[in-house]
Amino acid sequence: MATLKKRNKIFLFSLIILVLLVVGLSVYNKYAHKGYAIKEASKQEHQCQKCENVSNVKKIDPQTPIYFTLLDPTKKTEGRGGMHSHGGDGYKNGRSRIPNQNAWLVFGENNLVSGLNLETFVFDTKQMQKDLKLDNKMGIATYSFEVPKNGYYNLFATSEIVTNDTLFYRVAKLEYLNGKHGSKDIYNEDVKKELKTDKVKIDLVRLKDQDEKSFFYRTSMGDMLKFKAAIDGKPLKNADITVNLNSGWSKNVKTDANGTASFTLVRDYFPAWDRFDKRYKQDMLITLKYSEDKNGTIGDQKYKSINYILTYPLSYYPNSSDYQSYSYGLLIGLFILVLSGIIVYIYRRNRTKPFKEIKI
Amino acid sequence: MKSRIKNFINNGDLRKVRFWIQLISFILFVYGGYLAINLGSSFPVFSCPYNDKTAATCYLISLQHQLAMPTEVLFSPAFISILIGLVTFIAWFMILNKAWCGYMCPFGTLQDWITALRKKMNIRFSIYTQNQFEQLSKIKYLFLIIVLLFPLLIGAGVLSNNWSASFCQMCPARVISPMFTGDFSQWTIDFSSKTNMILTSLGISFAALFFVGSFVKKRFFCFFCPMSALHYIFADTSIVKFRKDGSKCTRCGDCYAVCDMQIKDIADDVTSTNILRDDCILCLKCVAACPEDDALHFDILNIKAFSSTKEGFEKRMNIGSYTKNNEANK
Amino acid sequence: MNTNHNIESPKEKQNRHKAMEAIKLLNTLREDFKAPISSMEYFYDLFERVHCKHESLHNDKTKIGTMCIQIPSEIIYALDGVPIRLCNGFYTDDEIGSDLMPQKACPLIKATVGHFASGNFTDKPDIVFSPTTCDQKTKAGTTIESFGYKLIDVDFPRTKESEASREYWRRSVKQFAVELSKFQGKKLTKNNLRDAIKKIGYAQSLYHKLSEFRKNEIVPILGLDVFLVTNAFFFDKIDNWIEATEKLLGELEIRTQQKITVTGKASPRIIYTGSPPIFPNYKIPQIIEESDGIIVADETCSSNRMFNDMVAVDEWNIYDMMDSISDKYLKACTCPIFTKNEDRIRRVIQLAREYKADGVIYQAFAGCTVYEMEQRSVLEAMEKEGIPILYLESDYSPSQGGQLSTRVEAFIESLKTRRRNKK
Repeated sequence: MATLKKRNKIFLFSLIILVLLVVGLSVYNKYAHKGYAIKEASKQEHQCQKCENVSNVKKIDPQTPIYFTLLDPTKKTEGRGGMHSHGGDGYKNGRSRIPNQNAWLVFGENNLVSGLNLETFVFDTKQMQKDLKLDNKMGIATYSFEVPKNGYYNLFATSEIVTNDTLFYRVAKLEYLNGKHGSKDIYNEDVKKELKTDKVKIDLVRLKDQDEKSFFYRTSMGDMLKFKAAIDGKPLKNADITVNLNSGWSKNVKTDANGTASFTLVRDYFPAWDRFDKRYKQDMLITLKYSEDKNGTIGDQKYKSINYILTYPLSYYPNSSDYQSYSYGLLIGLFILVLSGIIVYIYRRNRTKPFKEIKI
Repeated sequence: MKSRIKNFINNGDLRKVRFWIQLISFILFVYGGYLAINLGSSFPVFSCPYNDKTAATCYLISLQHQLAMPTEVLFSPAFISILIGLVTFIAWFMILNKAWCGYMCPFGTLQDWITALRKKMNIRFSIYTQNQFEQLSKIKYLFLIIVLLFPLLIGAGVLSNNWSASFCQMCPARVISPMFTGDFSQWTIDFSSKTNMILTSLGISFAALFFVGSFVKKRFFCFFCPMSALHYIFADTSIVKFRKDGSKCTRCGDCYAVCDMQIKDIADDVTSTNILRDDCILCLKCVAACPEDDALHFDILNIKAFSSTKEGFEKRMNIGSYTKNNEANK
Repeated sequence: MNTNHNIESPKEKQNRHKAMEAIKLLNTLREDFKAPISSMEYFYDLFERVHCKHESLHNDKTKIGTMCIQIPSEIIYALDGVPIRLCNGFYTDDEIGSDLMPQKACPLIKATVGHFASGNFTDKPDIVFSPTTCDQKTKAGTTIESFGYKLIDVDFPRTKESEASREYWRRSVKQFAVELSKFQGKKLTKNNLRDAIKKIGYAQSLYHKLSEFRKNEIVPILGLDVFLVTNAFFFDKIDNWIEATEKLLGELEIRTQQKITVTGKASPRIIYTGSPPIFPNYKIPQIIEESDGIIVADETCSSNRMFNDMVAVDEWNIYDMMDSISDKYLKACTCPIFTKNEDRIRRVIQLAREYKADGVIYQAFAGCTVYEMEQRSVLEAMEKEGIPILYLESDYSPSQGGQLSTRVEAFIESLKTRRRNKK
C-alpha cells in the first residue's frame, strides 16, 4: 500500500510540474519572443549575407544564370538552417496530408526571377515526373512539389532565349534529399540511382559516394565531390565547371573525356571555438557552362550557336571529424574504467579487511 | 491435463528458459536490422537506434525528439504525434509489464552475461547496504526528469539545440550498443560546443562505469535506468501482474537473497498483494527460489502463470542429486 | 555364604536408569497405540541400541557436538564431521544437572549439563559448538567447559530484521567454518559444501513429504512417531536415516490408500508448539495422544523447525552458499529468543490453517523465560483468529502426570464438543 501511494504521488507530482512548466514556458515565449532561438553561436549575421530585401525585380539578361533556392528570398533569414524537417512546412499548413516543399528561382544575390518563359519539371524519388506547382502571389513565384517519401527529388527549370543568333539554354537544377524521421523508407541502391532524363538537353549529375547510406546524409567540408556532365544523353567533355562558395572561394575545373569532374570542398569555416556550430549550413553554386556551334531554329528564330548554362546549388556543413575526437573519448573511457576499477577493488578489500582471518 | 501443464511450468528450470529468451531477443534487437525487421520507435527496452541495425528503437529517444518541438507547436494538433507514440509504447509495454527488463532488454542481457563471466571466475558479487540502496534508488527518477524536462526546455528556447536528446548523449547504451555491429564511432567526444563536450564525456564515463559496475554488481545499470522508472508509472495498465500471498510467506528471505536488485520488500512485506516494486525487473528468480507453495506468483490476465512450489524449488536446487554412492557424509 | 554384591558404579546406575526411561517409552509406542507402523521399528530399534545397549554409531568420524539448531549442519557435513545435537531429554541427567544449575533453570539445560557432567557418552563429542541463543544455554557453556570439554561459542544475534544482524551472523558463520576446518584439518570446497546442502535439503524434503500425509483427514501416523523420527535425526547416520524415512514414506503411502488410521473417529487435531519434546520426554505428546487427540503438526525446534526451511542458493560458489546458509538459519528461524515473534505467530496460524487443526497446545518448560514470555502474545493472536489454545508448563519430573493429563483431557473434550456443535 505504501508503495502504491508513493508511486501515485510521484506521478501526480511530476505531471503537475510538467504542466506548469509547459504553460509557463509558452507564456515566457509570448512575451520574450525570440522565435525558435538559439542561445549559443548566433549565426544570423552569416546567413544574411546573401539575403537582401527583394522589393525591386531586376532585369535579367540571358547570360545570367538562374538557380533554385529552398530559402524564401522574400523573408529575412530567420530560424536555423540545417535542422531536419519534421515534415517540411506541414505545421504551417495545419493538417496537410502530403507534405510539400517550396522552392524559388533566383538570380544574382537572391533576386527573384520573373518574366521569363520557363519550363519546369520535377522528378520524384522513383524518377517519375510529377507536377511542379506554381503559385504566383503578388508577383512572387513560388514553386512547390510534393515530398511524400524520403529520397532524392530533382527539379529542373529551363529557359531558352535567342538573342544575337545565339540560343541561350539555361537550366536551373536542384537535387533535394528529403529525410523525414519516422518514415518507413529504406535507403538502398535504387534510391541512389542517377536520374537520366531527356527533358533537358544538358545535365549535370552528382555521383554519389559509397558512404552515402542514409536520408540524412550531409555534404561536409573536405569531401570530394564528383560530377558527371552530359549533353543529349552523351558525356560532355571539356566543359567548364565553376564552383562558387559563399566565402568567395571559387574554382574552375574542366570535365574529362568521360564528362566527369571532381574537386575537394575546402574548409572555410573557422570561427572561435565557442561560436562553432556543427550544424552551420553554407551554400555553394556549381555552374556548368558550355558553348557549341550548331544551327537550329526555335519557333521562328534562327540561331547559329548554343550557349548552355546549368546551375546546381548544394548545401554543405562542417565535417564531423573536425569536432569529434576518438583519442579523447577513449582516453577518458580508459581513465574512468581504471579509476573506478581501483576504487571498487579497494572498497571491497577494505570492507572485509577487519575479518581477514575468516576469509573462506 | 491442466494440472500436468501447470506442474511442468511451475517445476521448470527458470535459468534455462531465461537464458534462451534473452539470447534470442538480444540477437533480434541488436542484429534484426540485417533482416530489415523494424518494430517501430516506441519500444520499451534499451534497443539503441545509434546501432544502425537495430530492430526497434528505444522509446526514450523518440520521446525526447518529440517533446523538443517548439512550445507553440506543442499545443497545436501536432501534439497528437506525442500521444500516438505514448499509446504505442503503452501497448507494447502492457504485454509483459516489467518483464521487458528481465527478459527482452539487450542491455540487461549484456549485464547478465558479464555477471556470468564473473561467476565463472569465482569472484563474489557486491551488494549495496540498505542506506546506499535507498539513496541511490532516486537516481533513476532524476534521469527520467532529464528525459522529460530538457526537451521541453529546448522547445521553449531556454536550452540550445546542442542539448537535444541530452539523455541519449549521456546514455551508456549509445556508446556500447553500436559496438556489436562493429561501429565504434560513438566512442568519440563531440567538441563542437561545451555542452556537447560535457554530455558526451559523461556518456563515455558512464559506459566505463557500466563495465566496472556490472562486473561486481548484478544488473548494475538497471538500478539507474529511467526506462525502469517510466515502466513503473504505467505498471498498473499491464495484463501481467506480480502478486504475493502474505499468509503463505515464512519470511525466510530466500527471495531477497537471490534478487538481483536487492528488493527487501519481497521477503518482508506480508500484507501487500501487489509486490511489484519500482526496481523490479521481473526476472522471476524470486519465484523460482521460493520454497512455499503459491506464496509468489506471476499472473497473466489474472491466471497464475508461474507460481512458486515446493516441488519446483526442490527440483531447481537439485536437492536429490548429491552423490548417493558416497557412504558416510561426503 | 557367597554374596556377590555388585555395587553399581554411578555410571552404570545412570545407564540403567536411562535405559529404563527409554525402553518404557519405546514399549508404549510399540504396543499401546492403534495400528503400529512396521517401518517405525527401525527407529525404535535405533533408540534402543543407543540408549539401552549403549551402542556407538560414529566410531569412524569426528563428532561435532551442537547445542542448538542454529549451528549449520551443512558446513559440518561438508567438512567431513558428524553433527550430534546434544539437547537431552532424560530425567536421570536432569537430576544430575540440578546440582550444578540454579533451581529454577530450564530442565533441558539441566539435563544437558548433567549429561556432560557425567561424561557418559556413547558417542562423545570431540568438540562442542554453542550458539549464544537463550540465556541459559549461553551461560551453560562455561560450565560445560569446566568439565574438560572443548567448547567454542558461536555469536548469534538476538534480532533478525536489521541489516547489522544479518551481516553479524554471516561473519559468525564464517568464523565457525574457519574454526571447524582448523579443527578437522580439512578445507571447505565448493563441491563438498554443495553436496552437503543438497543432502540435507533432500532429508528436509522427505520430512515435507511426511508432513503431507498428516494433512489428510485420516492421519496414518502418530505425532509421537514423527517426533521420534525427527529426534533420530539428531544423532543418526544421515544416509541410514534417509533410507529408513524413505521406507516409512512408502509404508505411509500404502496405509493412506488402505485408509488405515491411528486415531479414533473424531479425534481433535492438535498443533503442538513450545519447548521441544526430546526423547524420552514425550510426556505431554503422550498424554495428548492417549487422550484421543492427534498431533498433526508442530512448531518446535526438535522437529518442524529443523526441517521446514530449505537453503536457496543463487550462485553455487562458496561465498554465496555460505551467505545463503547463514540467511536460512537466521531469517527463517522462529525461535522465541528473538526480540519480535510475529514470524512464529504467523507460522502457528499458517500451520493451523493448512493442517485444519482444531486446537493448539502451547507447552513451556518451567524456567524457560522466552517461551513463557511469548505465551501472552501467542494466546492473544490465537484468540483473535478463533483458534482454541491451551497453555501448559511442565518439566522433566515424572510426578506431574496427573495434573497435566486432567487439563489436557479437559481441553480435548472441549475441542470435541466444539466440533460437534459446529456440525
